[in-house]
Amino acid sequence: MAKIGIMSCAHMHAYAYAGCVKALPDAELVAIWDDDSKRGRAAAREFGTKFIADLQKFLSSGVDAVIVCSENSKHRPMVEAAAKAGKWVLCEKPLATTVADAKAMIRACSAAGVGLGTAFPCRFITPVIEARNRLKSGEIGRLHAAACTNNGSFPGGWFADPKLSGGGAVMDHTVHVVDALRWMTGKEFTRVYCDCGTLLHEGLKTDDVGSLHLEMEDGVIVSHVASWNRAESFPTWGDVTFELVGSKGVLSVDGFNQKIDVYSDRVRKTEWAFWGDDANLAMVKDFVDAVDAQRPPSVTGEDGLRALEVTLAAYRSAKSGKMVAV
Amino acid sequence: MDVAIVGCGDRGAAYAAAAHRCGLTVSVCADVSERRARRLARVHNAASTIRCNMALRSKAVDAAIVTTPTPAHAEYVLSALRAGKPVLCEAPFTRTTAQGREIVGEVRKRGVVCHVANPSRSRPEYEAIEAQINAAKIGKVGYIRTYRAGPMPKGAGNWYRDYAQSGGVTLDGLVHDFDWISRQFGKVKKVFCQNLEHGGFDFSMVTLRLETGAIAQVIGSWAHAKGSAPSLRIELCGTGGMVQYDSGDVPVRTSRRSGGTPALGLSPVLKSIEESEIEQFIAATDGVGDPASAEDALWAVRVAEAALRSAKTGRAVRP
Repeated sequence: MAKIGIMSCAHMHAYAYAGCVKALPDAELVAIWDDDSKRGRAAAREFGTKFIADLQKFLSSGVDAVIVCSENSKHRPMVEAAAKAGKWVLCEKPLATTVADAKAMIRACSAAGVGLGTAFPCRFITPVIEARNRLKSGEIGRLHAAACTNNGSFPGGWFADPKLSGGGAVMDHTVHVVDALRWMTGKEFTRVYCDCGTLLHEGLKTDDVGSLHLEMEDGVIVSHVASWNRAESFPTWGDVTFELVGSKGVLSVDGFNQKIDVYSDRVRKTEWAFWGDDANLAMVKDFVDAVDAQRPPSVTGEDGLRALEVTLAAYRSAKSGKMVAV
Repeated sequence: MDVAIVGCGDRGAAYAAAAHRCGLTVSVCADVSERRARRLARVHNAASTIRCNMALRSKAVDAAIVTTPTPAHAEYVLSALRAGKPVLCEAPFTRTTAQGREIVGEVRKRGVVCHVANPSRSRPEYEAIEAQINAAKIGKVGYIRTYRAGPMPKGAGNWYRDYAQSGGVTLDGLVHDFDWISRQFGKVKKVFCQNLEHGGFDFSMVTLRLETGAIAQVIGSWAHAKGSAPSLRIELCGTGGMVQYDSGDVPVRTSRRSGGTPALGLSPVLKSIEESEIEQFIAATDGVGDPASAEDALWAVRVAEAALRSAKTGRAVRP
């Protein structure tokens, strides 16, 4: 039985992950710590666990492992504190907002002998796994190109504060696709071009639309949309899509296209009700299994660092107007 | 009005039929292939010739419809204009901006109509999209994505496969989107493109930065299965909403147990693309059309050329 604690509920995924921990028979949600005690207390109430306001008391309360869901720029101190206390760590994406922070986190976990995972649930989306299998089976031959999107609705709050988020839609919605493509192809990204701007939400201090062009090893070319472009009236939060072009054909993946259309007079907005497998649950289960087996999570801190490096290169490109090396 | 069809392949045949339905007379069918010219001429009870330029100068011809492979457009359009004959030119307008500039110069000099076909000017789905924007349903548009996909088209002598002639999907396919986006959302400031131009297939991914700041991602595929219907998807995101369109979502579908070639992936409407184009062309010759058509078409070719340059150099290019 893995005893899991949650550190900060600043990121809304904390609530999804808490639900996953509760749903897993081999795991127990033993405590929540949050630097915003009001938020932490409310979350603890919601999930029937205890809130511990003091960080050291939280870390010595018997938790085996923690899931860090703070604002992006606060990941490092929390992960370092958890590692120092010998806790296994699953950290929300992006792993950090700077390469230095990400490397320090990896070092801290390695020095403490604890596993560090980056929360990339895309690797656990069943249709994405299916696509990877088909790609590996040679169904579309040699991969030449990929056109991808990770669109979403505007998350609001600290996501639009560059000091806490490290960037906007490009920071938020590039890493998933970068990691998934690395995983599907086994290739690394080498160069990136990015055009981004604040185009849909007036007065925002970060970008909300980014169009990226990337190159991978062996000459694979990739385009990507990282955006907060989904209207409030759109039936769902967003999407993750890949169109993979190979020497023998095209493989199209719409990761969350397992839904029914719902027209409710009460809601007065068309909604898509998702019925596919729960990728978050599979990811948290992998983490819990890793804690039990004292092995690193499947998606590591290094994976988080690689995805962050590509994202930061995208921002460098947007600034210079040129394609840049990762 | 008696028209000459120059280029008697599939496109020429479609335009000839539409011309007939629009009350025009197809008087001459011209093609460098005698067989193709004759075949179409027989259908329309017209004369056939392999001397295309001479046909355009003929007294029996009042106007021309140019539906040859792209690299030959300029020669025949210029011939027609110099003979004082209005021309309807299939898109892409020209293979190069140099050719397009020469035509635009000739149009200005002679005041003869050169109408360049573009479905975004004639198809009702585009009208519907524009109506939503104009009705302020989605606010100010900041993000545009167009996606068109199908197999590499077949043409005489496989000319599409020769990228020097066709410009690949980047020119031949995406020029339509470049034209529409430029007209609807503002001029293009910067282009970045990656493409494949592989032997038997092409795939092109383009980012346009518009002068308004808006970002457009334009994707084109000639990598899809042979025989599959070409499809077009459009997504617009604004400060107050979104519009999505998918041409694959059609009201009439056939599923042949024996297989075979599916029809073009277009929704049926009373007026075909070609009829709408010809109606606009006739209106333009009557002085009520859109005189900027050749200029707009030239701009779209310029953006496509910039995209091809960007793909080669790996740099963002100003068109």
